[in-house]
Amino acid sequence: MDFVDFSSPERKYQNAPSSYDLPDGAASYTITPEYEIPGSSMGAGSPKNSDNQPTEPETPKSIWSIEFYQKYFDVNTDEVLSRIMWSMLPSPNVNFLQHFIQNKPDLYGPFWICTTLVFAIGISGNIANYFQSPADRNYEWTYNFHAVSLAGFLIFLYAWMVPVVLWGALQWSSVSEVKFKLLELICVYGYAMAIYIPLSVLWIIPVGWVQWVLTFVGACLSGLVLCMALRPAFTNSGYTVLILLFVLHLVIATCFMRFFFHVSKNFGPNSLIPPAAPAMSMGAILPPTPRL
Amino acid sequence: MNTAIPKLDMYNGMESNSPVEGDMSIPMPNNDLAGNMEFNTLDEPVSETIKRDLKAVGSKFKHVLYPTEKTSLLKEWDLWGPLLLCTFMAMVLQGTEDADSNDGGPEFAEVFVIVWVGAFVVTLNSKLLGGHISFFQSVCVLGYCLLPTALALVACVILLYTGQSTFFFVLRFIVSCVGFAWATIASMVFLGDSQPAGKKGLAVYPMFLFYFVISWLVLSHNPH
Repeated sequence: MDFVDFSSPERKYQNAPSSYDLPDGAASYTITPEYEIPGSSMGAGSPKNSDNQPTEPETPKSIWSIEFYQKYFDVNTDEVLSRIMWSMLPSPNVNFLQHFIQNKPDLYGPFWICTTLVFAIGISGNIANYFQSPADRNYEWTYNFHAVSLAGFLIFLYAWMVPVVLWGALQWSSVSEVKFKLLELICVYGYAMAIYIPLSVLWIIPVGWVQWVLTFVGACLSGLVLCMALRPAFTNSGYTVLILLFVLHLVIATCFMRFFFHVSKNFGPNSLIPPAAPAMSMGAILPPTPRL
Repeated sequence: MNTAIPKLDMYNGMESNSPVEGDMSIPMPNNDLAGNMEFNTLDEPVSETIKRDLKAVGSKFKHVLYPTEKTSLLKEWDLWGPLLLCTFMAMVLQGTEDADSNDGGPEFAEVFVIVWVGAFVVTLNSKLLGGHISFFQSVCVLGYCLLPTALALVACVILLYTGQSTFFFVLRFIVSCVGFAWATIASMVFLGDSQPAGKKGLAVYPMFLFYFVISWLVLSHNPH
């Protein structure tokens, strides 16, 4: 690396603006931490820093310009995919927040994961409702478009308001020495919702206990990742708040399942379905036979 | 000095003679080729103007259905096509008129808002990811690419009036899937190149979601 840096500093300087024309400012944000931290050898680092440092103060982006917000969307497809994957896989050695989020928290994932989840729940909730509707000829099943707005309200309330409240509580409470940034918390919570997207497809299965098992397993997986990511802030104050957050995560999953996918009144008198099914088949078979 | 004056006389003589011929000959072909568009719109009948705009919209529809050439949609953007498509789809998709028997379908305004806010958010997303495209270009392309889903909607309505059995449901499902795939591929062809290399998937995914939701509305449209 050092040889490459020494031999072609000018080439790199020429290449950089041409390859990344518009996101030049955004690209400089990503490159600088990577070069500063591992490449502590001053010989190679100093000429680049002198090139990069003037560009950052020169262009203080206005809050009203799109360029200001581009740094929150500065992620690649691979990074987003790996973040989504690790938000579902709790592992004792991996702190999701420190390993994947903290160097570059983004808003792309939280926003689009929540939006996808809203429509996934809206759509598959309707399909589940269709499968559970009584197979009666007179009953007209109608799809309910307005499930989407309820799901949207619930999901965005949970995934964006809880981080804000948590951030405020951590900010003003004196017990925790680790203070997360608001963006990091929103990012962690947004990615923690990702597991509910495949779950919302699986929740279509109209069997009560399967739905409960799916809910519990899914919420535990992402809830564990969430709690392990947030643990550093609660080492002094005990884990009461952490357990509360975990329970809240379980509750929100249960809410999704009960509101949009629940096996309705059939769940209690489940034993009524086997007698009803032969009756239906009898009704379906018998009328043709007299005609024949 | 003596030599200069005759030259000036000669020059003036040239000017006084030639402009009559030059003006007559040179601007005439200009008027016929390109000047028509700019100079004669005040004189032409309104029907001509509307016809010309409709022709432009129609040619863009053609490019969406056969997405190979990009310039006409990207460079000469307009929002007439999206407006026509969106109004048509919202009129067909809206639920029943009487508020008491809520059939669960979306209202006119809800379809309208989903299309325009959806296109706005998808465009904003590609701008935030650092795409090289102007705002209305992207909205124009996203709106014009609704055409396959609108055609799928027409086919679905025809199929609905033909029959209600499972076979027709499967047909409607296939039709709306084709419309969805076509719209997504067309918008990817038009907008895919505007993104940096590693972010193409991130920019394409919201378009996929946008057309997926609209295709779901098309498939589940079932007035009684």
